[in-house]
Amino acid sequence: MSEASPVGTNAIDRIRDNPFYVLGLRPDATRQAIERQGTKLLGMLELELKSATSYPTPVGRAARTPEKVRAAMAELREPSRRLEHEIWARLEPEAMPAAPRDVAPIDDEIAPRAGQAADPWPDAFVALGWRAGR
Amino acid sequence: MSLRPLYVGIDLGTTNSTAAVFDGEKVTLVRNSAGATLTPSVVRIDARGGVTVGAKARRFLENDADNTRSEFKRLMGTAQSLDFKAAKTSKKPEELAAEVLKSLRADIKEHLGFVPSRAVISVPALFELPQSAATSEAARMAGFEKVELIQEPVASALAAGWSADEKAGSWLVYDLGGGTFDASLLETRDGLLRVVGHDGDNFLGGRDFDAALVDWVLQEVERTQGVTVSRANPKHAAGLRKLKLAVEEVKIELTRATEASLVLSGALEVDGVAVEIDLVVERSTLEAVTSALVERSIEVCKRLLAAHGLGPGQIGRVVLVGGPTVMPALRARVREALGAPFGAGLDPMTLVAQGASIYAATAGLDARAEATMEESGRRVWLQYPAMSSDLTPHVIGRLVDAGQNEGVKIRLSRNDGLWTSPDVALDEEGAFIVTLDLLPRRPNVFKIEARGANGKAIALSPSAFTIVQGMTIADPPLSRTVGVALADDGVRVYFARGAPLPAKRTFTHHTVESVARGSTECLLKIPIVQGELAQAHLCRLVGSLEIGGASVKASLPAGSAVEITLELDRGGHLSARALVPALGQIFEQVAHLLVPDASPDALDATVTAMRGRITELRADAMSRNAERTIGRLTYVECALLDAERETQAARGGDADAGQKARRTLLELDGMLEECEADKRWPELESRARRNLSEAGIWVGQYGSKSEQMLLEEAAQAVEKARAERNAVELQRQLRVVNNLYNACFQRHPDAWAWMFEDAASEADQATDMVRARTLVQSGRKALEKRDMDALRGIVQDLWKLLPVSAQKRRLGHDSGVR
Amino acid sequence: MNGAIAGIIASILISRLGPKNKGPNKPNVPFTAAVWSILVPIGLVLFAGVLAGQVYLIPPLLLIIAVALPWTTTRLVLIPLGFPRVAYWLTRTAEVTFDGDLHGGAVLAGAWALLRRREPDEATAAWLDDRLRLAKPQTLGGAGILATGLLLAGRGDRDGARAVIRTVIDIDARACPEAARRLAAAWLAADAASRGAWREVAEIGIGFGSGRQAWLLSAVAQSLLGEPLAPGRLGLWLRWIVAPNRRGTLAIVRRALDVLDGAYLEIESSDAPPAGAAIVADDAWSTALARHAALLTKPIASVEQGDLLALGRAWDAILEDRAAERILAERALLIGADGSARALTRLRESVEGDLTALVLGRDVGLDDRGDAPSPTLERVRRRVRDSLLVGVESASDALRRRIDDKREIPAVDEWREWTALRIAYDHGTKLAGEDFRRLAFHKIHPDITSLAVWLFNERQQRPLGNAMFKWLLDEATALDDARAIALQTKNVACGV
Repeated sequence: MSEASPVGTNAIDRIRDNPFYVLGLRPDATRQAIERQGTKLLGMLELELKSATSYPTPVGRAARTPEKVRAAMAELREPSRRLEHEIWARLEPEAMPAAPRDVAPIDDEIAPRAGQAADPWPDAFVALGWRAGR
Repeated sequence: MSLRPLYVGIDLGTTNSTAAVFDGEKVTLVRNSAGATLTPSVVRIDARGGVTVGAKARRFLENDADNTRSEFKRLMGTAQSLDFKAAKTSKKPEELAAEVLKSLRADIKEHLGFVPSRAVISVPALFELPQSAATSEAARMAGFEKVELIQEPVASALAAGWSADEKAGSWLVYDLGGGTFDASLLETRDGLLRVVGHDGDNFLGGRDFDAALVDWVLQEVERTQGVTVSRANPKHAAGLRKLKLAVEEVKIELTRATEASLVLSGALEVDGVAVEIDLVVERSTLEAVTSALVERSIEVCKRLLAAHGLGPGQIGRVVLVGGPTVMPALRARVREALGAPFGAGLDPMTLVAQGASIYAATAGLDARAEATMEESGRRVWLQYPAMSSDLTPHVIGRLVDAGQNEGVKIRLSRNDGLWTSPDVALDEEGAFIVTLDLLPRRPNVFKIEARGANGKAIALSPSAFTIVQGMTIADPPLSRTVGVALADDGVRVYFARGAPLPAKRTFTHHTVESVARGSTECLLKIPIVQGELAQAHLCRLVGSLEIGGASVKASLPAGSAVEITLELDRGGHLSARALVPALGQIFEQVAHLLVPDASPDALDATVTAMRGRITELRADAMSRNAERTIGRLTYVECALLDAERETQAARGGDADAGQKARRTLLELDGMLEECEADKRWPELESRARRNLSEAGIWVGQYGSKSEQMLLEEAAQAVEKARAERNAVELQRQLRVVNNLYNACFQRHPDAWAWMFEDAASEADQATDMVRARTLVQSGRKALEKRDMDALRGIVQDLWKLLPVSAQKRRLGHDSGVR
Repeated sequence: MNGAIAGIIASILISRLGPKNKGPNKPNVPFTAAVWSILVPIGLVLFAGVLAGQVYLIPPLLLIIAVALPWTTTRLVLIPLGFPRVAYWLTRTAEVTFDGDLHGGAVLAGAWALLRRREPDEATAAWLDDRLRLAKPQTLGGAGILATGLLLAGRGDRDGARAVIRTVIDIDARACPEAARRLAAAWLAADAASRGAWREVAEIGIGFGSGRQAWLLSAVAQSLLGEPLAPGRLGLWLRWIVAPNRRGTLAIVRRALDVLDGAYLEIESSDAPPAGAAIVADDAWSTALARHAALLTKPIASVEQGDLLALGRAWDAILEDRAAERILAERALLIGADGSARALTRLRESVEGDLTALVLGRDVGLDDRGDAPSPTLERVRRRVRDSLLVGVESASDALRRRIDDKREIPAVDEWREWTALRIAYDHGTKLAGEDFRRLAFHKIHPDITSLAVWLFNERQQRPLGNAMFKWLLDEATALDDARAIALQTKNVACGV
């Protein structure tokens, strides 16, 4: 996925960019807490404070940007949309035990896992004369 | 110069413009040199190039129309230039708007003692991106360093909310402007204002009230003097302009008096005949001719309330905005229909400017130029909301210069001395976060102090800051959905209506056409559209990214991925970028960001075509007894009359009317499209039934076992698609059915003979008549000899000569992506 | 010496004059024999002279060799040295090797030589590309298609290159020189090996016909995959000796031999639980969400049918249950939302959208086996099919518009457009099955036929048109479409 996609190009973003996770709040947060937290995070990001630049989600840590924070606040102001986000934010942000991996690109091959024997042969093109060696 | 921040808001109106200044406590309206708060949005340029703005210019509107321009706001974002004959120059609408803004800026300087460099300008809720961008451009030309835009209804509500006492509730903003009507449902909760919903009628405004009265006057003239004045006749335009101005004055007079006299200074010149106009207009006459218009606006309000589960009487307050809302009859009718009190003490003419100035505080747009006061001491970088609905917001700070941070303690205190924060230590990044305590509904000034590890005071710069407590609205929401048109006429939404600005989003699309390197014919279009409808061709095209054969490094086959990024700033500027990973190339030249021109000929043609469509649709709807469609067609027909009237006015030289007609026609096109979809479905359904039963006969007789099974499966799928009302799926399945039907039909010994007769009967429409005739003759001979193979070849050749059905309508703005 | 030079000039002149009236698919053996009959005696004389110690005869001898064996010279000298333009011009005389697509063969040689350069050279790549598209209309054959693929690979577009090179096999043998076929197989095998797609490698090189290199790699792949029918040690060594690039392939052959020796056997894949499996909570909501999150973070290639089924059922437990609506309605009331219906609809849409994206990203379809069908998965299956159909239909419509407007694009690009459409079609068939195949075929059949007829009749691209007819015929046969079979049989019979 491209770095330039703050929201929504990927299914995983629905969880990763859930407004509650972005703001570091749980679904029972009050309206005022949401506004206060959003404004605070925007200020921290403006001051480039490291503690504000990322946040935990059930699918791994994600980068926090002012656009994400603003979008999150706008989403949660609308009760109907808030209700939808509450559903997706039910998991605890740190719920995932394993380190999340990025979703592999669509055309990745299904490589059989027979130990190292069937590992890729990255030098194939050079070894077979299709490309110059380094 | 003021020590406290000052916030400027400007209502750049169609008829009048207003500026307001907010100091954190109260809003002050800025008076112009004539002492008025309303500056007419009129610009005059004389023969020496001298520019006059406002009331002085307005005086020339009647007698020197060639050098005086008004109502240019409606042309914002179009390529239309307005001529000033004496100065032999022409100006774009945004240049004229810039002149008005310059004049307001000068008035503010008189008022505040400094030239404001930042401001908030209001725009109508229906403004599209090109129009918003033109407004920002006008502000830049007028010398503003930074501006933000706010939608007029939001501004009005903010102004009304600021002065209201109650903390929670629903509001309705009834905004009847010069050309449009907007109704907005708002809600305040916890000091935060939220736009719950919006509705409106883009074809209803004060102008329609004037027009109704003008029409009445013209009828009177015709009745009493037997002279017909036509809006379509350019020769009558000057007279009509004069009449319109007089009518406007009468309308205003009738808000106070029960009757007013309409007297034109000098006679109207109509086809060489002098027409004297001297009439007495009674308030009841005005009420009678405009009551239908008022009812239309009330219908919109009721529709908006119903959409959010509310009925009349369930809203806390109605806020009236716009000149026409001062009409007593209108006010009475609105109060009665909506069952809610009006916001007290609110001036409908200046509310928008007041709201804009309050919004400037929310957005932190201090009008004073930056860094006016240089303080000595360590630099502290502060982040806090300039305006906050929260009584206990956070302030975040960071000491940015190199210096000892260890042991440094920060303390904040409110300048009334009643609140002081505890001492806060800096973290490893030199930052601190403090929760403040605000006094409600006023500016709160805080002092910030630092002490070193040794307890000595450290001077800080800045050493104080101000936060205004009061109702806020966060980011200006996007007024209309923005997306990319797709090849199948769908729209991929990038930013939905209400999305906060600025915004940036990326989606991956796939091309459906090849772009051959070096070919000038290949041009892949990525149209960017704005609108709420699901079909791209019914949305407004606001920009287009193009990937041409001449600019690609290598050929790009259909199916290639394109990552499109759209970015919108707060001023309505759209930027777009297409990255083609296979080429490693980025395309970012956005073409065509203007409102399209509206030539009267093109408008007339559209009106005529629409009439044809309506007739056809009505006949069909009648035969099907489709009441909903008939109702909708009647509405379209009435609105088409309006569009026609505007088109006539456009022919008479009123470019603004042309734009209005164009918008109307676009919306009506959408409605007709829906009616057509209603009509297409039963047609498609009956075709499906017919084809299935015919296929059943032929496949049963001549089909193989597997073909019979396939038909059965297709028949089930057809039934399912019919049940789901899924036209696309039904068409797909019909292709299968027809294919089976054709295959089996052609197995009949006489099939080619029948098809030959059929093709021969249409031979007179062939593209090459001579060849068609020869083919028909050879066909007859082959038929006599029962040479079916030869006949088959002849029929296929004949088919090639027959005309193909009319070109499919190019939908989806010719999009090259899906 | 003068005689030798005169002979060379004569043969070059003959070779310049010779191929003028030769169709792309007609061999010109008599002509080549004539050139050789001049060059071989001269070469022998020169060789004898060199043996006799007349060193100055070496350059003319080399020149004779180059003219007599242009492809061998290009392959062994010019390509490894990275001389694209010289490789192009010399291969233009390699009539025997690139019989059927000489022009494409020349570009192929140039593209390959360009790949062997250390630094990419845009200008030369564009020059070669222009030989294929901007010169006077040339009939595109198998070698030209391979050349296109190599140029794409040179630009770093491996996916694009793979898609194009895979189609070399579709071109009729009369327009696709054997060398191009073998080289295409070798490149595809190298590409698959570099990605670790050994199953693909094994399939590409079955039989000696696909070339010595692909043959060797196929054997290596079979050994790496531990297939019972893999050739033994001797078989591997034999193929290694026969195949080119022995030094380069030694390492991978050794790896294969190690597998035969059992070196990797104990390192079997561990049955590690999928990420997130530990967080299956007790209520239906958390279970569904946890599964959803776990699946989204899994590498897409390892998402299995079972995972999807489990997730589908987990969502069924919520979406098909009235209790969920009640819970949401209560919450809606509390926060001031206007009901739960919209949230539930959007939830359903999101779930189905995500599952659809997951299925579309995989290479295997969602077949409807299983005892209890999941309503959620049923809807997903339908969405997958519809989305794939829309993709093929809109591409087909765009193609139809272009044909109607007679908007030509260079043959190479026509071929790539068709290839893209076919990939979408094949992908759809794989994922959405026969239902998709039939519906999509009826849509694209008339459009592709028109394109093929246009290329065949009016644009001198008979091999491309023929390949399309063949594909349409194969599909029509598979779908048992009598009319299409009849039509395409005749079209294929028109030859190349």
